[in-house]
Amino acid sequence: MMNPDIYLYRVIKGIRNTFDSFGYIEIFPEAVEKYSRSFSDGVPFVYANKFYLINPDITSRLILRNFSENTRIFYIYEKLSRSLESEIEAGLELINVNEEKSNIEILRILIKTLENLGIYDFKIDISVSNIFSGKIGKRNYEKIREYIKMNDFNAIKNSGIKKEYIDYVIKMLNSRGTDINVELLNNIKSAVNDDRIIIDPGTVRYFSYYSGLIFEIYSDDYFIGGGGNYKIKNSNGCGFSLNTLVLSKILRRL
Amino acid sequence: MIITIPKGKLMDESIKAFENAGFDLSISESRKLRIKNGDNEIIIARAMDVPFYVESYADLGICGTDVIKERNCDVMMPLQLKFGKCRLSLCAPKKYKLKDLNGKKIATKYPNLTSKFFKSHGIDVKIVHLSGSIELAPVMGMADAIVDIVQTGETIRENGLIELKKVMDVSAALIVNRLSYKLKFDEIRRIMDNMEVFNYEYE
Repeated sequence: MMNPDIYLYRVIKGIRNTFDSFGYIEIFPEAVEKYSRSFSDGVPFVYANKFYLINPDITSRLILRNFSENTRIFYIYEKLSRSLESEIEAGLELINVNEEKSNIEILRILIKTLENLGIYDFKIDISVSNIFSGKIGKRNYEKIREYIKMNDFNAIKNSGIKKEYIDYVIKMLNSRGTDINVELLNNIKSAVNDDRIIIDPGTVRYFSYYSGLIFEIYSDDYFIGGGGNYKIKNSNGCGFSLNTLVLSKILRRL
Repeated sequence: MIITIPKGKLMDESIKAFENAGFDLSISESRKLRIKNGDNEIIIARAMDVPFYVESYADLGICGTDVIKERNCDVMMPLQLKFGKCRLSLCAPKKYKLKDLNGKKIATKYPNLTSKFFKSHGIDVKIVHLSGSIELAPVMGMADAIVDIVQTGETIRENGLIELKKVMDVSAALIVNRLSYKLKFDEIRRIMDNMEVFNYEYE
């Protein structure tokens, strides 16, 4: 990243301009936080007998703070994995706004951000975080969560949970792109009205804080990012993050 | 489609499975590891590496469920196949029971699965990572027991070991790149349906 990269520069500049044009304000997260179990990701280290994390996941940090109504923020920062691989993540969060409205606003901004970069060929798969646990119960869901993630139908069938639950899970995993009876998703799809949005109950987000809408964005060759809705204190937030290095690779090819 | 076929024991049956799913693989006796065949590309890889190829490059592949769990790659595993059936087992000289292995050395090709297995039993072991002829390790005094694939059990008996506990049942499985599973959903569903027929007719 120390060498000049015109594509990465265009991506970051383009994202910043788009987020700014929608009235979002840039925040500058601290690189180091005192260790907390509530934070996702981040590189742990010890200094002067105290535990810290370098660059933990931003959303997991926001969840612990207080925000006023209609908070619109974005960030562009270097994310480090535990193996010290680095990527620049751009994220946007809409906090303390009615959940339905924020889902639609966030998806519209996401689409506009990619289009402003000249990227039109992408898809956004949407689902809801409790699409399985809401029907089969949390305990059963925990038992088969890994199998759902891998679409391991054999393991799901042999998991020992009730047959009607197995049938439901398999039906859902096979229903990508078809109409399913989930009002939230159907409403979002018709409100945003974009063919690139696809309902896929098999959509996976790895952070546990999601509650409600979840989505992932991808092009022909890459996963570009993802996001969703989450509970924050007594209200809710909705946001997404984009992998700028992946976007720069896509721009390079256009 | 980009397909990864494992070298070794699973190779012939994997080719048959893909051919039954409608692919003309035409893999000759040549030593080429990457073959272009019309719209398809076939990669021949070490069985242990198949999940890596499917995670980062190929659309589809076949390998053992043991390898998939050991490598822990981010791939989909929508169909288990009826060939390549065996089990991953803990084998040790007759004098040992499971709890006696606390603090002992365990030789294996599967360090992650082995470590998980012993942790789940609350037993602390030292893992010796080898890549072949695992049964030799206890004979040579390099390890006290092994975790390895058992088919008939003949090889372990010949090396003075008994099967102490099964770690997992193993079979071949179709694995799919997570992105391909989305982008080529209908095509992959069709391949899976054809492979299910192959599965049904296998035994």
